[in-house]
Amino acid sequence: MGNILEVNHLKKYFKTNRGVLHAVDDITFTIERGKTLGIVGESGCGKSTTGRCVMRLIEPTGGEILFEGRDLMKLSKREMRAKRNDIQIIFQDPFSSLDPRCTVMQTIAEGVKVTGKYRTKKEVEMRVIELMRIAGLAERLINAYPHELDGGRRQRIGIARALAVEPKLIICDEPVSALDVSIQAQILNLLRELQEELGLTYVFITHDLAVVNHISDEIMVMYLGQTVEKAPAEELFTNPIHPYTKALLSAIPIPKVGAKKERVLLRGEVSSPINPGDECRFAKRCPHARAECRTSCPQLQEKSPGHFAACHLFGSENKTTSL
Amino acid sequence: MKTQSASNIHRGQSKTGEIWHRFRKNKGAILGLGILAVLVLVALTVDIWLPEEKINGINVLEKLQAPSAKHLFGTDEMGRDLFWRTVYGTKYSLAIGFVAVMVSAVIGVPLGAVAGYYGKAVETIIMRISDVFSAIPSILLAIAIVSVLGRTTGNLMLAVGIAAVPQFTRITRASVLTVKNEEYVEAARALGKTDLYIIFKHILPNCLSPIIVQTTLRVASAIISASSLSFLGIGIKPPMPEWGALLTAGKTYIVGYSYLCLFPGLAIMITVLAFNLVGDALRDAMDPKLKN
Amino acid sequence: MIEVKRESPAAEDEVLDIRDLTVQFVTEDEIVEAVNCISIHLKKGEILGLVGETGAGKTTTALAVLNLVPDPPGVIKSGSIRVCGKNMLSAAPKELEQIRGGDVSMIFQDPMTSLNPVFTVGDQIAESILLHEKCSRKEAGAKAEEMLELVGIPRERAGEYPHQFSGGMKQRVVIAIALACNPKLLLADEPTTALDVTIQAQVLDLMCGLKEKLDTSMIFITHDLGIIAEICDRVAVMYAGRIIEEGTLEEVFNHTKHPYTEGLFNSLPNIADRTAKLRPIPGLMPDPTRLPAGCAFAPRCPYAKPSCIDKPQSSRSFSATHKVLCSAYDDPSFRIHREEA
Repeated sequence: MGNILEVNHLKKYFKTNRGVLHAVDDITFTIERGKTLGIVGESGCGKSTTGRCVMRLIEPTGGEILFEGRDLMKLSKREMRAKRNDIQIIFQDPFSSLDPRCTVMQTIAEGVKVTGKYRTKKEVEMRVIELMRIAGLAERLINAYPHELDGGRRQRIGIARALAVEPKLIICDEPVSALDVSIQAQILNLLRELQEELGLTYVFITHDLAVVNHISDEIMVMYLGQTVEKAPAEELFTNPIHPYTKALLSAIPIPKVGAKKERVLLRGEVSSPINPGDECRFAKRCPHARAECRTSCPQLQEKSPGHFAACHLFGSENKTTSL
Repeated sequence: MKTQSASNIHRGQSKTGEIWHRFRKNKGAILGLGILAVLVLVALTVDIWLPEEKINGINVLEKLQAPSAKHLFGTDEMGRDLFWRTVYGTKYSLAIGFVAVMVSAVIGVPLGAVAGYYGKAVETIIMRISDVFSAIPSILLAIAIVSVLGRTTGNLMLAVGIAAVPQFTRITRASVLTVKNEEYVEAARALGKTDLYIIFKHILPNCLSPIIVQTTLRVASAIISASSLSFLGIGIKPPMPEWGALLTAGKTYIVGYSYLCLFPGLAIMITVLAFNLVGDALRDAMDPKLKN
Repeated sequence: MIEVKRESPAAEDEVLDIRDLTVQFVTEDEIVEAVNCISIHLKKGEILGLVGETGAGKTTTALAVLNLVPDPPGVIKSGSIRVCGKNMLSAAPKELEQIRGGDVSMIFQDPMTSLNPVFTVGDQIAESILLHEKCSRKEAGAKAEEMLELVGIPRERAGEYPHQFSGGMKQRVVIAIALACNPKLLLADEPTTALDVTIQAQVLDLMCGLKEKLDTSMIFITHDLGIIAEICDRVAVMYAGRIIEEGTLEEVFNHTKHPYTEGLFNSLPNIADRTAKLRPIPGLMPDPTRLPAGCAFAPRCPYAKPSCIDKPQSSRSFSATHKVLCSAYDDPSFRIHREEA
């Protein structure tokens, strides 16, 4: 099927009073059509910025974004606006992602009108109702305002709005983080069904490892603007390489009695993403950090087919084993 | 936590119909609307039924009389009937209050919205110019505008309006700044909507509250500003009565003949109150969250 | 250690005793039954996990313990609450001030908003000590630095302001404030929800350690069953204002009885089996203003019979500690799927 999206050396720097904040620092990834790439990381690691840069909601500082072979970075503002129909986004907060003054109908209709396929009022309304049905919303809610609905339903409106323009790629920015577990499961199932039915491709951004494991084909772990590890989901969970990934995995609380396992507890302060030096950004918290970790920033290397990691430790291990 | 209340959702009503439906439930709003309707009616027709004789007829023999059955509000230093003068003043004062504020809002709100939405250089330029304007005393500014454009009632309104533009710009910009980072604005951008559409469809409607409050409050100060201009001789030409001018004239006699200030003052107060009631109710009616 | 304590049922062992507590939110046109006739007992050194979804009444329960339910609209309709033998509902305001922060303190979800940005963290801890203990400002300051060290923050940082701390560090400061007066009971309302997982792991580790060191009892409110499994001794599951299942960790997790608890477990993505399909609970939480006369979960329950909706739930005990509120067990042969498997 080929890659729908190819992102090369994506960078986003913000100027702040204290220096240049490297929010996204040289991120490279590809997604195959119809698959899901999960991006995991903690707050401030640049995962949301990456998602927004891909659709140029935030202008990237540098890099290449090839969507179906065309570099989005080279499009004019107007061309980009048209291209946005192919890429959509679902937000985390079902409260702030809907205009409180627009009814369900008005919110979804905005997307429907963008396609230009539905001209009369009647056609638009029919399409809105169809989208509501797809997203699992009862038709009687069509004139409801967001504040009258609970988080789960609000998130469904957000999904219907994104689907309205018939996108090929959807960036899901923590779509279930604000929801209760039983509702979270409903939305995750809905997203999966939609993917199968409509052949959608997802970039799934979250901090919840159990969720990302459930929904992704491939997972990219980010730390302070950089990719530290990237692998197929199964492989990443069974065979993590990077010390940060290991710490993350061991930190997940497991809902089973006696599941308590040896935990990699991180110590030390998180490094600042402002004017980072040439060092491994995880070095200050890494339990295995060595001298070279503080003097040079490790590059992403392929350990086994499809499994990448950026860590000096693994690199040297590799050398010793190959020797 | 209105989880299940989705059952009582208004269906098939137009947006205006819905706002009116909610507006109507507010008793204060209906009162305010009633007062405004009477004032507007008076302002529009007063030239037809009120002879000039009653307004400007000087009768020195009856000067400075206290309110009585013959002269409801009493008479001024030249024996003119204050009641009729106040009634006639509605024509000018209402127009000045309303038009001047509309001028400020129509110019100030979009400027503030643009400044807040785009930020950076655009914001700096708009806000600095606005700062310069607010640094000049508004009376001075208005005098300058009237003397450049000419001394007509229309220019007077324009002048008073322009002098208040910076306040609207400032207040709009502030609320735009809080709204523009909401995710629904980002969602609209993700749908490929133009900036203009986003500003008018999503941002401004969510900034309405402070703007409406500001608008209704500014009506009073516009009437007063216009009267100061009249006092300086560049506003409404005497002897035509206008509430601000009546108030200023009465000031000289405030000791002993306080009713000369009282009645025009009351007229201004009631008008502002009516605008306020309507404005508040409008704000509430337009906010779907306060539907119940 | 806890087991040993249970064998000697001395009265002073009981840290918290809530009986038949009902809290309502009364507004002009509706009454919300936020907490409905719940009873909780907590012994010294025990950690009770309170699980439930948004609106289940967890936070209201915790606020009721402090007698801090916002009034209006909140009304404590009936029931009694005793903290270390002191009746919270009839205590005088002065006495309440002493109990809050002294015998019992609370940690809120958002560390960003529970600290005052214009005071140093050291001052904020000392403040709480000064309120409850007779000591000089200097002694309180020294104690505050000790507390910081206890929660793993170097004492030199006492003079810094909240904005100089990261999220996890701020939550540690909040914990230090809560523990400053050696409370016998700690109410933790989702204390790690706003934190990243690695930071959450650190904070949980810290709380477990402190509990062992100080022997504080704790009510740990969360929606994360993983955290419950990790730190709690006992679990109470709340739904629509009622405790629908209560028992030791082992009983609730391994011998689940209530269909709702089962639904919660089925909704969780299984980290060990990524292909397993999620089986969410269908439907939504009921409108708290219109709760059915019978079981509030019945409309979403796969086992519900028509009688469940009208008839009040019957309570059933499976052991001295394991209690379930579900009428289905009136039929002795009834089993939920989870138990059959």
